[in-house]
Amino acid sequence: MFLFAVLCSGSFEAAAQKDSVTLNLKWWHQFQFAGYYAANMKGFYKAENLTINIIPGDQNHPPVQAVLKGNADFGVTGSDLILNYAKGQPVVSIGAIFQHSAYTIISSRKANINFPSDLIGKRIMASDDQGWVQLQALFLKEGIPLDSLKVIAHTWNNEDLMNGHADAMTGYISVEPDQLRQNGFQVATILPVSYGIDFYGDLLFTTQVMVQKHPRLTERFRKASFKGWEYAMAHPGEIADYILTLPGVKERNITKASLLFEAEEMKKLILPGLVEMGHQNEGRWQHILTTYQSLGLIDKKTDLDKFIYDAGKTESNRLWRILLFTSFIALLIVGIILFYNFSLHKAVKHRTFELEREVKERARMQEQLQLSEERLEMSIRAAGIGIWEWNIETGNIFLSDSIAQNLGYPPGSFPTDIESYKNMVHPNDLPTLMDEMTQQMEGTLEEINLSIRLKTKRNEWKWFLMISRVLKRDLQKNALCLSGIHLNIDELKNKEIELSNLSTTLLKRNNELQQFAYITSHNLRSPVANLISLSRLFKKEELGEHNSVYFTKIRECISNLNETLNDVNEILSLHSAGEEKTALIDLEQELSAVVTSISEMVVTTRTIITTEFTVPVLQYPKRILHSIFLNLLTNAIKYRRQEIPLYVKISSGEDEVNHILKIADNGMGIDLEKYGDKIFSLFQRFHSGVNGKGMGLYIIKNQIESLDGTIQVESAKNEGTVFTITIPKKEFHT
Amino acid sequence: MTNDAKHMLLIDDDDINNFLTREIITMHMPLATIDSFTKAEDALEYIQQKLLLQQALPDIILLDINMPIMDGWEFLKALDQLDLQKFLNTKVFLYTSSVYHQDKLKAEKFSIVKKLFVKPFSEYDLAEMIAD
Repeated sequence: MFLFAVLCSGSFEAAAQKDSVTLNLKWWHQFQFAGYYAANMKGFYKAENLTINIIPGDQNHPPVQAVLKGNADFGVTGSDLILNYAKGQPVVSIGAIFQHSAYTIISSRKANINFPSDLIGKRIMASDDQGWVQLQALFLKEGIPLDSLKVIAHTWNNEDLMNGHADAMTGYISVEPDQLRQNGFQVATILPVSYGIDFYGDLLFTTQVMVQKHPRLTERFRKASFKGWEYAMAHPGEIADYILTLPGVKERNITKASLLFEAEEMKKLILPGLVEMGHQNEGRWQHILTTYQSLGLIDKKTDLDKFIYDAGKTESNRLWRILLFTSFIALLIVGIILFYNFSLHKAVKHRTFELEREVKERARMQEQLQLSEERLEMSIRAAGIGIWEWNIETGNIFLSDSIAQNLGYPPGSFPTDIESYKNMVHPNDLPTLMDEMTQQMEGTLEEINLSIRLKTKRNEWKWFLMISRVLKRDLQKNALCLSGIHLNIDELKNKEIELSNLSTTLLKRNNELQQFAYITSHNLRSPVANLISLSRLFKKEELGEHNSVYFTKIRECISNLNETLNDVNEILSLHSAGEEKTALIDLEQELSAVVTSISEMVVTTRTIITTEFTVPVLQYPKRILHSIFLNLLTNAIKYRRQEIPLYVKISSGEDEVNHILKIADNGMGIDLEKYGDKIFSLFQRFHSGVNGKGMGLYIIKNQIESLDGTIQVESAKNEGTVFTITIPKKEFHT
Repeated sequence: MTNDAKHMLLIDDDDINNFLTREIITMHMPLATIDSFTKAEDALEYIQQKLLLQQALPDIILLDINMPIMDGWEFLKALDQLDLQKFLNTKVFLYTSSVYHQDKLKAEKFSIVKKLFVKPFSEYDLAEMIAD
């Protein structure tokens, strides 16, 4: 990085300077200098941080002297510059603009001067600093002694040629011939190049001091100037217009046409596009030097060493640094690339793996999706689900073929407008459906889920479950499209209706039956009660011995009848057990009350009752607990084994959700395999020879169950029976 | 039992029951005045008459629940419509041949009703009635 900084400072320091430079032209403003105007006008100098001052040249402002004196930094002149160099003047040609010299010898066509030899003895206007030296080379090469020519001072006035003051004059092939032609003067020209004298034309030069001390400035000036030349030769019209605005141009009667002619002629000399702008070939300079040397104009020892500007030479240091810098950067880049490549390779590998996995995953999901779709389609078909959709805007309705089939229409022959659909809906179902659809469209109802009847082709009604949802809403939240399904539920619905009718009938019957039983038992019980009273009042002792026995039997009958009716009444009042008030019952206390009420039975049978109330108090309807104790205790006594004393153990306990009551005895037991499912049924008795009406277990089971409890029995014949009663805790928590 | 000259009113559509009850009461309370009705509406009229004439009302009313036309409940409601202040000394006992749980709950709603007995009416019930 240190190296980088050093290189940078060396390379770019000079470029940052703003310089003002003066360019001394070779002649007055004309197309001959188009490149410099273009570079200035198009900002190429500015881009190089240069401010340019262009001075036209003439006899009073010869460019070489101006540059050497320091009045100008750069100048434009011809290849004669080499003569100045040979004289020891420190000039350097920094670029050849005209690859061929523009100098020519112009004469009137009428004068018939077509070859150099034709000029012998003729008056010729020439100027040493305007090409005469190289034209001398032409004569010398042609073996024409210079003193055979009558050289007169150049007036730079075309009229002198036209009115015959001179037979010929030197000039620029691109300028004067055209000017003369414009004035109707036919001219002939002799070009040195036709005779093997091929010198450079206009070139850009400066001093050796400038090149050595300000190589960057020189280079920037060259670059901008050449760029200007390229532009000028490509856009001659634009530059011609500009030149016409320069001082002294119009005064010389120069027109755009003449400037464009000049440009056209210059193309032949500059060779734009063919030769790189500013290019100088050392070989050609050598040729020019040799030519002058052979003419004796330049000393034989002169070499071109310092005359030809070589960017490479002066800039070699800089280039070397740039090269070094570039190499370093290149090395750095290579390093970075190598490292990056390595990590890239890794990343690519990783990413590839991920991609592969993703592709696999996608494929799997695609497969699953397809499977799901197939399943869905299958389900829809199997379930007889019909898809429907209602486009509210168009009023069109779509009903899938499955619905059509269900209604007995051939596929595709189905109505597609909402009105036809409405006509198919049962008139009793239509108002609800339309009402809900309106709500749904307004957004107050999310989903319609209705059972409706649709008319089949045979004019029968079929039940459908119609589900509808809003598929699309506009900005005002109004529904644009409803969609959903029609599911054929005809069979189900008909069964439901049948069932509902049946249960209504059953309920009614049940009520009637209950009413009947209620009335019957009540009506039966009244005379029984009377009979009991009457038998109590009856004076048995007033009867004879026989009748006394009969009366005792009558009393027993009345008593049995009374008990039966009491039980029936109990059963009839069962359904309301759940409404009974619960109370906190002390089990021990309640049991002793029951035992007292049947004390005679307990005492005479010598029944031994033991208790183990782990849970001493229960929240339960008192009457029902009483009934449970009474029934199970009397059952135990009734079905005891006569040969052994009866033990009854009553215990209480609990698990997480229930309180548990157990009544265990060592009585006859019940053959559960035989009677298991009947034990709690009405009017079932499992022992012969024992007094029982078969209602006790039925009553308590119903009572317990109406309070969400259970009663279970475990029993083995001649071993005993255990009744387990569960009472849910939550029901009675207060 | 006691010789209190209680005034008792028996209301039961079953005339045999009325007879039997009257028998049992007179056996134990020979001084009691016993009036009996087989129609509750007649009994109501009797009470209204008593109120009109500002005569003393019965001490005890034994009322059957299940009766045609006007049953025990309707009779109780009709009593409620009358000036209850006048019944301060009157106790109503319901008696029925078959007791349903709902009947017990219903009976509790009438403050004038003291207890519900199951037929047949016995001397023990009578003892409980006059003990209060």
